[in-house]
Amino acid sequence: MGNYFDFSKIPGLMASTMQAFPTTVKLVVWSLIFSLLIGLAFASLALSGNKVLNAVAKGYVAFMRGMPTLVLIFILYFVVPVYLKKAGINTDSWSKDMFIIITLSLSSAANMAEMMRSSYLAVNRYQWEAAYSVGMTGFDVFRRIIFPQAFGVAIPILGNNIVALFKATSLAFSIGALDLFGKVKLISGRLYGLNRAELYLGVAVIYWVVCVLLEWATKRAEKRYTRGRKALTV
Amino acid sequence: MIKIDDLKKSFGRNQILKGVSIEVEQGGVTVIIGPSGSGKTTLLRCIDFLERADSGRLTLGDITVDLEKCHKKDILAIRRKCAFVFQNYGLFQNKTALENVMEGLTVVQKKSREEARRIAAETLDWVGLSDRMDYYPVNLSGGQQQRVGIARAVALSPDVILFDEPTSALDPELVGETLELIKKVANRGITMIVVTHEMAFAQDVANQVIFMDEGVVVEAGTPGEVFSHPKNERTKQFLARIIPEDTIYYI
Ligand SMILES: Nc1ncnc2c1ncn2[C@@H]1O[C@H](COP(=O)(O)OP(=O)(O)OP(=O)(O)O)[C@@H](O)[C@H]1O
Ligand SMILES: [Mg+2]
Repeated sequence: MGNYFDFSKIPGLMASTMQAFPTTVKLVVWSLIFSLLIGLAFASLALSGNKVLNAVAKGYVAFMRGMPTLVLIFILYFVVPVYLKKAGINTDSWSKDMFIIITLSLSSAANMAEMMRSSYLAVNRYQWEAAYSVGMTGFDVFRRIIFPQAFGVAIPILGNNIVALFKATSLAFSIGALDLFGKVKLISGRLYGLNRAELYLGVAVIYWVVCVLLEWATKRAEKRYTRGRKALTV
Repeated sequence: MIKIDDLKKSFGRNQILKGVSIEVEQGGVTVIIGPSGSGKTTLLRCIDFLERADSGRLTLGDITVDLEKCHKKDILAIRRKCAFVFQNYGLFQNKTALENVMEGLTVVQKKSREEARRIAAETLDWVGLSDRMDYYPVNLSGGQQQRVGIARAVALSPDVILFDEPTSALDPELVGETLELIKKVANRGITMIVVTHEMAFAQDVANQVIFMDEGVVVEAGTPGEVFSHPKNERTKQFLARIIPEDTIYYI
């Protein structure tokens, strides 16, 4: 077939692919922001003393855990707009990126809610009492004592969630959005399937490098925020 | 002066405190003794609103509050006049020894960082920890952590310090020096309420001893009265159980 693996093609293909990098970053950043906000809402429900609200939060987390992201994308992109139209909401002007952001926000929010709930509970309740005993207000206790400790617990989980979110953006191609992998599909189509191996390897390397960088940043942040947790080695 | 009047507290259907009244004079040291489960910890926690009492009245200096219906503002005001030394030290895990002492000074008392740092450093020096100021609690021994806890309480210059079994989580060889430190706090003239099982300490430092059992004050008086001439049968039995015959000494 005369078709051999050509390493020299990879840099050029990667450069073309990287044109879509800003789109992927946009998808990750917006999904991250919304998933943290929605996650915060569900974590608050889960931590409230109210049984009904607890059940709502638990139900949401359980539902999203069992829902494949790709299936959710299709439901939100192809099915939900039909019903919204009947309800008088026209989604025709919504971009594909927007649907991806909505999907990823909703699915990642479950992980974020669990992360916040468990990290909050990981802080010893005596920390509240100690802070109240010196006369701090509830807000100050949370801000200065509880949150910094919970954040230290949450960082590695947050890092994992962001990596998962980043990798999940590669599903955006499925509805024709032009993220990194969507771009790869596009290039591949233009080349009639030529150099497919080089193209896929190149994009895999891009994903891999970003994940390594995210993990490195996570480790650094964790070190900084857990200084009181591990024995010092001075 | 601190005065508690008819304090009641239940957990579910269990009434733990059945109308406790005590009075502690300005600068006095009151030691509360009593068997396990008699409600000593619960009483201290109710005073600092770490637990909400069901009813009763609390007077602390110029504030008197109805414990049943007092508001956030009163709770904060009382807490700011009290300091608490916990059995398990209760240090902020995310802060160094120095920051633990500074926290209340800056966040609650709104002192400048420089002033807070000066007071915190002085107090840590006073408890003998000048060389451990930048250590996190995880890197301190139990005895050192409790010194930080005591320094944090003293630095706030509260009207009263509440101690809940401050030495019972410590290794035996550290108990003595920690009690010495608490004695030093008493000598500064700070009003204190101390729950402890250390009878020798009570005898030595207290000017009032309160014996509690099953949620009531059974007997209160000077150490001489309570230890040497207990009036109540329950007090006698309790003392006989925890103080071996030959170590009772008379003042
Ligand atoms: N949060 C709570 N919920 C339910 N019951 C509680 C709670 N806190 C304390 N109690 C109960 O109240 C009773 C008194 O407890 P408390 O800790 O005040 O006793 P204590 O006199 O301090 O005992 P010890 O000498 O063992 O420390 C105990 O029977 C305990 O089980
Ligand atoms: Mg107790």
